[in-house]
Amino acid sequence: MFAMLLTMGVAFLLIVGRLVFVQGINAHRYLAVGQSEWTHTVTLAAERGAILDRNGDELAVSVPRTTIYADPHQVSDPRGEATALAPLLGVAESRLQSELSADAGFVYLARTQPSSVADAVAKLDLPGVYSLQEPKRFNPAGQLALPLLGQVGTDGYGLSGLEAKYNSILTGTPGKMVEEMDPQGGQIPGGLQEYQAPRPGQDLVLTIDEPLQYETEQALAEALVASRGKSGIALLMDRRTGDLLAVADLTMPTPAVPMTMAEPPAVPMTIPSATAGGKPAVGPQPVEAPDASAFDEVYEPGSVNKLITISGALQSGVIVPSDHFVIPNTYQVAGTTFHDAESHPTEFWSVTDILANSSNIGTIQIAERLGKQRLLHYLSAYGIGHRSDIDFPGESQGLLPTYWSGTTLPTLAFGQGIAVTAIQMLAAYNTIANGGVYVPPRLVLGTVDGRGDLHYLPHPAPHRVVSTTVADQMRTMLEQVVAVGTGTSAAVPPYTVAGKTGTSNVPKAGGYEMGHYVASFAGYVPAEDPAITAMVQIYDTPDFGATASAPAFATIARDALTELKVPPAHKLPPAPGVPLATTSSANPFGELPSGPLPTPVPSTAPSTTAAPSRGAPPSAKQPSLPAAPATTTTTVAPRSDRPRRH
Amino acid sequence: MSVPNPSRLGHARPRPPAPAQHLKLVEGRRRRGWPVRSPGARSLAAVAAAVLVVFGVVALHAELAQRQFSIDRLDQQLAQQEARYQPQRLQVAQLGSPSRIVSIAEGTLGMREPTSVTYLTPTAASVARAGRHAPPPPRRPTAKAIPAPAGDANWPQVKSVLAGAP
Repeated sequence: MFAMLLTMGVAFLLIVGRLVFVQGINAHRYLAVGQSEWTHTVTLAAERGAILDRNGDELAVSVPRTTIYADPHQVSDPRGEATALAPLLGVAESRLQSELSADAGFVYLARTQPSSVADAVAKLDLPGVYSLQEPKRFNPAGQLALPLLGQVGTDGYGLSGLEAKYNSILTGTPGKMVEEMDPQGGQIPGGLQEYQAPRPGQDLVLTIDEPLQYETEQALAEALVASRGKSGIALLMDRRTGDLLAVADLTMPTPAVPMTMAEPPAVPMTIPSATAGGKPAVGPQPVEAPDASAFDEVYEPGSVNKLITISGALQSGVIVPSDHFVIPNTYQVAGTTFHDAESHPTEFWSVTDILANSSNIGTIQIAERLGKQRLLHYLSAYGIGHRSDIDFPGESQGLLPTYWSGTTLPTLAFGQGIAVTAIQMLAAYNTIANGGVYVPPRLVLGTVDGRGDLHYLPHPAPHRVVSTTVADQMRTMLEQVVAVGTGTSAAVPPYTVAGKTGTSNVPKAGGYEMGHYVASFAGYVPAEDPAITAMVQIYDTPDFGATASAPAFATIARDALTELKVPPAHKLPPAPGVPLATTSSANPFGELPSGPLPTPVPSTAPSTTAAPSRGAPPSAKQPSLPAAPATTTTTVAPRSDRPRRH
Repeated sequence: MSVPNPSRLGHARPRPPAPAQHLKLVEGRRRRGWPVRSPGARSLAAVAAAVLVVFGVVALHAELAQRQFSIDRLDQQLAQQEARYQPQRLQVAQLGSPSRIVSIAEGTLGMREPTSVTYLTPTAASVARAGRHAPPPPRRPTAKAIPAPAGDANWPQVKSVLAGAP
């Protein structure tokens, strides 16, 4: 009797214990398991925000599409279903059959298909074949500004460019719907229902003007073809606000450079090349660059950098505009011979003449008065060596020398031995256009929320670099460059253009590529009351800045002035104390680079600065600078950065 | 009145007792709202009420189901309209793309970019004359000064009548 009672008691305790365990300790787990049996959770995808230009026109937009998938476990006739689906989906029958026969519960058959395909598949009513909604990203203007916008992966995640940088803003918050389902899969009315609405992503509003972006790309494409360049950059900026109205990055296609988009552009750029028969023939067409070169790639600016040297010297008071310099044909610094673009007798030039004729020797002499520390100070103040406030993905901060030899100062003065991005150089010229005030460039205006309200992103404050007097003096000099100097091809009559040409050699390991130049022009217009600042850079061209880039600047500027309805301004007199150019020795082809630079002499001197940029192959290790030899002409080792992809 | 003593009456027929003077017959009162007094009728009423309640619940659920279907239908229509809107938005953007417009302008309409542009600049005298004879600007109580378009420094002279008005 006692044993029976004991047994019953133990059994009872076990049951109670199990009850406590199930109902008390593990109640949540069992509830969840139960709920999973009768509830169905549907994730409601959030709509990805669009990218708009400053006028509200769509540059990138997501459209709901249908993805066809299958549960192979429910497919009874893989071959037959593959035969039926292949012509609709445009997928090989063998591949479809393989997918439908897979040992899996979920396989994609075709992603992001248009509704016509989805409807046709639905009509077939094939067992085991289902569909779900998935958005697909489109760029309505084709390849326009694609390096800037970036790309979105199949899963809707930004992979590059602005799509990647602002992915968290563009991606909305998915919602969910939990409903009670009956065994047939129908929703039970009045049953458990939990609905959390998806929050769509915010739209991104850029400073880009779509029509101007198109015009700029067309002008750059024409310049690329005409100058036989490998790639090019063109930038257009609103002078007052720093808004980037156009950012064009193009390249000539090569086997090594893949197309940036699988889909061809809506209307390809056609640049007719004249043939002997008179019928225009369409040669290789420029395509969008694989990345935003204006931010990511650096180059030696050449003579456009003289703006910084000369304005810094004026601001420091080491020179005045009326100073004259003796400019010989050659000039020795630390045993290295420098010369100007072309031979000339000894001249006696003003600062204006030096800039108008792009004299390297004159600029070196000015830099010697300025000195290393002040030159570095002004380079930094103009934004060289710093990323812009845009902070574009992969943006380079440029390269400044950290090891200084006897020839570093002179080469830096005329824009070699330093590497800058196009956006840095544009912002430097915009500083002079703004009366000496550096206005941070801006690419994104703000975001638009679900209610349609525009929220401006914060814009950093401008800062003064040089005085308005110095800026006005530079204006006069830069006007002379275009009026009578090397930049006459950049003229946009009846407007007054202020700008500077630049030509530097393309670097290679151990030296420079002779006959291969980086040709650029940067300037602003109208000089009296600038509306826009722009620059054009053509990489690896046999032509010089005056012929390769300056005409494209003129085209872009004219288009922008017309689009923005900017009338010509009344011409201002020269700034007080600034003499006009008295001589123009630039040849009809415009500025020439400063000839072969000294070749490296093996030495034990420590190598120059450049931390190799990210992605640079090991072979791009910088060679050492030569120790100053006695009299021989040597080539300065290139402080090259990450090599351009050509 | 005294009650007769049966023992003194001997074999006399008993008389029915006289009704108590203090009692009289009164008509029975009906209870309000409760006409049925029998237990069987009450049960019937309870069952009927229960049936009504059940039918009410069923009707409510049916109504709920109908509304749910309406909601589902509206959700579907909403999704369909949204699915229509986005592609049309894309189509509008594609139709307005600069490359397409230029292609049609040049290819179909035969338009060409002008080779030269001539700017007409009014003389100072004509500008001054226009400013003197200009009618007074219309009174707009809520108008505020509109800044000149970017780069148009001559706006106040050239269009003085419009300065300050959109």
